[in-house]
Amino acid sequence: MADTRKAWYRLDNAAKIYPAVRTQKWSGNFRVSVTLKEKVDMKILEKALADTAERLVSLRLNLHRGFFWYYLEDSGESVKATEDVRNPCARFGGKRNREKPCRIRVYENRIALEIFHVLADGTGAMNILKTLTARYITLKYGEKIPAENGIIDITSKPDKEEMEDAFKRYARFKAVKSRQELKGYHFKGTKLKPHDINIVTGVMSASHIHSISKSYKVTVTEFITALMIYSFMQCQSESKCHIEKPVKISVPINLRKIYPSKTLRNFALYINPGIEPRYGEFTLEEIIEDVHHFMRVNNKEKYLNAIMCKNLSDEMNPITRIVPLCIKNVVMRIAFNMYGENLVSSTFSNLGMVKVPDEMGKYIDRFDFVFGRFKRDMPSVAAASFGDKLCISWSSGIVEKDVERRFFTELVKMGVHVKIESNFYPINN
Amino acid sequence: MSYCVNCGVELNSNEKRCPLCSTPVINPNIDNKKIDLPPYPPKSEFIVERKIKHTTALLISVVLLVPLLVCPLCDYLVTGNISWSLYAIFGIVLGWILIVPPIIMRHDVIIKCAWLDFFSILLFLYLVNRIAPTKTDWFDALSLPIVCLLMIMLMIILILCKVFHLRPITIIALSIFMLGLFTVAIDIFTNLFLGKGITAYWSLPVVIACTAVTILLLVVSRLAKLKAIIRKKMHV
Repeated sequence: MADTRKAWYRLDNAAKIYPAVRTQKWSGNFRVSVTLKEKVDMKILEKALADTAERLVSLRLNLHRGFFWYYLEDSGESVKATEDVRNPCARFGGKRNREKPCRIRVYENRIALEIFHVLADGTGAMNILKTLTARYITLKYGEKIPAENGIIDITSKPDKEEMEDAFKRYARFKAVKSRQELKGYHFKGTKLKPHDINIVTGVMSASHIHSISKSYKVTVTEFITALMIYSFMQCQSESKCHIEKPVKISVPINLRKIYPSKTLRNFALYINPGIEPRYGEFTLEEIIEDVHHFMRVNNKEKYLNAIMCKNLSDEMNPITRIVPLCIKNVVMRIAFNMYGENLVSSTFSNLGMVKVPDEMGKYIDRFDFVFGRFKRDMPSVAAASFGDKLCISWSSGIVEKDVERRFFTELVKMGVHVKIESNFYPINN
Repeated sequence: MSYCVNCGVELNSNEKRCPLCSTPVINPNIDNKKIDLPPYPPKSEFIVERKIKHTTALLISVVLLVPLLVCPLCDYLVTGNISWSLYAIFGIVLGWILIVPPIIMRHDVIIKCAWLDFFSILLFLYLVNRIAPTKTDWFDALSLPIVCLLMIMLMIILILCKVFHLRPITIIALSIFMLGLFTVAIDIFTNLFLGKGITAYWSLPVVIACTAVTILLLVVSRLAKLKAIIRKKMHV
């Protein structure tokens, strides 16, 4: 145990950009949460957290600054559970990076895990949350929960693969793909204060959305992506934009579905389906068809591997490696501004159907996935479903909710019953 | 159970307005005892920001403080009184006013700084005029009207931008036109100061060129066909 507690980890390929582009007011965060059927017992949760952190090193890591790269180090202390707040996903990294890159928040029936992207991606975070929830349910109700569907057996020995940089393991370096793309349209409006965030969650029937997607012969991810593009396109055409820009949505692809990795860290790549409004007005059906074909073409192992190789080749370049971190940070900020959020109008990440063992499922009401605010404050969407509840959460740093409204009203027009929840109190409206 | 009459979505029973469109929720049948808990607690978290801006401002102030102290000291040690170093002192103070406030100010920075710079430059020129060995009063005749005119023109551009939400190309056109007028004003004020009466010479070609460029930019900004032709003929 002593050796494990002194362990340190390199940041994975996708994580390296996040500490560099973080500002005084912003860092790339997201959160996954589980809503139980009963109120969360804080004392039992703290015990469950301590037990889980003994096994999952991710809950004990601190982010540190090295001379050439940032790195994660095992602090030996577990993250503490705190009360939830109205404006979640606040910036990580106070006191010269000694803060843990994750937080546990509790509110009534909900346990939320907020994560700085250096630590994990959505799937990795969901597996950590599922493991913690399973331990909590075991302690509270005495239920024996099997280690399946992403739940990790906390009595087992840590697997090295859980903390590996899976990008390096699977990249073939036979071909690299360029990042050159046109800049995307960005919805503009009144910016919220730096610490604040607008979260609007639409809760709806997962089976209904699935049947609508099926009627278009596309997946739920493709359907929601197309609906987002449609909403952004309408907002752009109504705005006073003189030159219309492409509307593109960045969609992360979970590489664990392609490569058999057990990693809990980042292992996703982004592809950007979209439309070019200058070609003419697109109907929703046309957008759905475009997105579907784009995803079919680009969501292939060979293409994704080429993107992975491009990202890794930049990182592994000998010149890049010997440059001090302070200079790298400046270069990475420029690269992020050129190729990051600048290229796309929004991001949509779908965790899909969250599966848990039946012994655990009966205590759970729903799972949520929420993005933190983006650097350009653009509205973005994260979704997760459990049972028949699909929760689509819009996060934004902009006061106006035109895109969110268009998106949900389109669903209502299709006959979907949408229940809206938000983090704004009447005083802020 | 409440629904937004505008969006058609169901709302949490604690909502007083629709979170999407802010339409007030009026449901006389709602049971106040059975109101749902809000999805998030009311408490907010605030980020403790490191004051990088203030650190930069402090650093600049310290750097400027060195010549501010060294210049009068050298002047006194060499000449026995404070003479030429007054120019350096006024210049450094003006430099501080021009650089530091834009860094630390937060809201309406352009307007506030424009007014601050306006009065500072006027004061600087007045003081330089007072301590200058020549007896010519160029401040009243030359500096004051030129700086005031520059300020008026800047305010006109800012007000027009704010009221009419001008496009970048229109702002550029307006600025070029104002620049032309400004050169004419400088020409006239200089001639008045030199006792040549209200006349303008060298500024006339400038104002003509500026007006032509302004008209061209305004025409190009309005005619889509012309824009397309220019793009076709001039593409690179």
